[in-house]
Amino acid sequence: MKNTSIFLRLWGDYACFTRPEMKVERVSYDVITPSAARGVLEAIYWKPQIRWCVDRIHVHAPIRFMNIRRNEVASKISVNGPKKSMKEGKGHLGLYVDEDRQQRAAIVLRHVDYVIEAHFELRDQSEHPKKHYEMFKRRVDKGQHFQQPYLGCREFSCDYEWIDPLEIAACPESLQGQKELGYMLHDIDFDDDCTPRFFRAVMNDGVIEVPPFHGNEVLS
Amino acid sequence: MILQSLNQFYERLAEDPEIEIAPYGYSSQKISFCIVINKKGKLIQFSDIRREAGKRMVAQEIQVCGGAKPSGSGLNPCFLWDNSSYLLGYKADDQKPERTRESFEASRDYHLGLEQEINHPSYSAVCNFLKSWNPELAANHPELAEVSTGFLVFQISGEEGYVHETAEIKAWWNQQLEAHQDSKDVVNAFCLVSGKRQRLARLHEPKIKGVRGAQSAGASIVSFNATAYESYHKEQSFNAPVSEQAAFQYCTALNYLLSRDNKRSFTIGDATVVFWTERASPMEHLFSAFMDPDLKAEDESQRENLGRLLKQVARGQYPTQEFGDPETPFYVLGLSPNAARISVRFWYMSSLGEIFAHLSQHMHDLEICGKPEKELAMPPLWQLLAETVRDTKDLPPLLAGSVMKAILSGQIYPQMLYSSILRRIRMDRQINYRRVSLLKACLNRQNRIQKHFQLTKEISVSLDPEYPDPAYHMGRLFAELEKSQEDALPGLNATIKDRFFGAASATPASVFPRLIRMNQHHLGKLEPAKKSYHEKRIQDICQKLNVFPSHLTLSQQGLFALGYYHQRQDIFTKKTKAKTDDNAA
Repeated sequence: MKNTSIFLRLWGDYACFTRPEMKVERVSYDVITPSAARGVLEAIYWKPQIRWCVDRIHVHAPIRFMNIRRNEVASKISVNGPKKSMKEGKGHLGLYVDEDRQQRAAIVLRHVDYVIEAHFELRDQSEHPKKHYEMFKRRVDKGQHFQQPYLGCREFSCDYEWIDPLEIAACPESLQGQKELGYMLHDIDFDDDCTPRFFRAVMNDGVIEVPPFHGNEVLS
Repeated sequence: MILQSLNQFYERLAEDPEIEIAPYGYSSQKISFCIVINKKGKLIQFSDIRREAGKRMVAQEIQVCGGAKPSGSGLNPCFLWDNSSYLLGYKADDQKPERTRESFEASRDYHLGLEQEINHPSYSAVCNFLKSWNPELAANHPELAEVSTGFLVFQISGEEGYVHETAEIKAWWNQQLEAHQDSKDVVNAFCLVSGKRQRLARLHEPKIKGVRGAQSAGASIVSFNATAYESYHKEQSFNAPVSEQAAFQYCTALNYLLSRDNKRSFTIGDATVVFWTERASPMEHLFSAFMDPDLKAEDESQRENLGRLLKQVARGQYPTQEFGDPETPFYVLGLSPNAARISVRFWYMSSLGEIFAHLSQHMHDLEICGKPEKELAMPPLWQLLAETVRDTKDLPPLLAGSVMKAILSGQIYPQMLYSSILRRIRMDRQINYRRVSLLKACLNRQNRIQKHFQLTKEISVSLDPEYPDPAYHMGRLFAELEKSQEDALPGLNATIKDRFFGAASATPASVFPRLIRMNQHHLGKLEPAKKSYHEKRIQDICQKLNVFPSHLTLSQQGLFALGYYHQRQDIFTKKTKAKTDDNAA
């Protein structure tokens, strides 16, 4: 545990940490991915000077899935369309959802509860780490965030609270023992042409150790 | 995890000498004719290699080089196998002779171009044949008229096997596959199934066939067929890095499971369910027999066999000797169609021992007296689900999946199962074996698992005169009132059950006083001995009841139906009761 380690409890009614291979007819991973956890941390506090690193994920609710089927759209508005319209001063900008329907099924998680153990790295060494640590803590205590944190998908918003490491509850009975979760997305390497990087996730008594992003255990 | 376990399953199948499964770079195709030529490439005959199956002729599944024939308008000749327009420039009832000629030329040039590189006498014979073959002569061979649906392969007369099965030619093909890996326009990256750096698949081939309701030409689990699904400027399946080999292997394994001949899949609701274990186990064949037995089969021995197995399950003793290590992982995957895509309806990972225990628990929960003789100890899931709706077409797709999951995981049955059964009972007033056994299973299981849900006592298999909840005794009373009416007025079209069951089970206070008043008239019509017999039985039950509540909760309504059913069973088994009690003791 580093002295700037933070522990943040996240919970919500629904979550969908989509597996890349089952991204169209979504199937969620069993637990939150490091990149989704980073997303939550960044939604609460982010500055160009720091970079969040997730170290450990504690799972506190049994893994439960449910099925939903929703109407979505098939296309994105391409960047070129509006650009062209701006240049020409006329054109079509919209996307009509009822003409562009796609029904998609999803297997999402129900009633999730995690504790994220993370630290941040300073990108500017002249900064004092304590400053960012305290700022983050104050923001969490007050419930301030830049955007509503969510669990994998925007529509599955989550609640969060600051939690003392000593208060972390034991994992539920069903998660005890060792469980292989297979290759899991760690994060996208944005400096390297958006290459996804994966790690082998293993849950030990409800705790998943997340290897460092550029370590040997993370493959791309 | 789904793709990884399927990939592992493929590797297991590939090692099994008894199972024929296509290796990477090959595929199983429906071959109906064989072009037999001599060593110089002269045509000997077109031989029909289809098998007779009933009245129809069925093409043989033969492993050939390369994947499925690509659809679309491009010219894409296959290596040493193809349809008749490519290999012979002939098509029965040809609408586009121009195109047929082009495809034959493309195929001929493709094969001739490789002649020097392969340098094998059998291959050269094929080339000679293609060089000398005149498509216009095809019309002289009437047997070709039937070739339109299937594919053709080559065979050298006097040699065993087909040309594409020759060891040297196969070796060349395999070498070709590997050489492909190094060329420049392929993307080599981490594969999330195998965990190795390999050549990535742009599309996942072969397509998955056999999911009910999906496109018959095959659909995909992994596909990115609209721009909304793509991220980070990645195209198609590069959004999810899976190697070509892993994609081939998981798709082939899934196709193997879905193939109807292998009896490894069944349908529940709108989902097609497949299942497999990590190591070979008889459970792989039994599971579908448990969930979806072939009841149409008139085979008595099969039925008996299943009955024997079910008894074993009911006893709850895991047969280690037969089934192997109870820790062996067991997977269940439910797939449902969504146009060209396939979505995962449910995915369940467990172990053999656990599945066995949960099936046993399921049977135990369902067990109730009065089982019809023909009924299996564990009615197949679809029969149970059929009780929740008027017509199986109305079955909500989500329900089937969640009931299945409840059975496999030992969790509570979905609330919807319980409430739809009650609704059906209110609608058509049929209180049959399957319905009450489901009601009992739902209530008992919920009572066992959910702490805040409390039945005062677990419901027993047969009549329990000491059951503490009054709703149960109201059900019993209702059964007795009905019986005395039946005795007093035999042959009635509509008894009190048909007219009052729904109201009595939901709002007893408004119905029971009236029923009891009517009962006085019914009793009056009976001869004294019978009258006192009925009076006594009704008296016994009434002792348990203080007051009729104005309404019953949903769980009490279930108890009401169960009380009714138990009492009804008791009325009709009365005479042999003493005997069975002795046996039980």
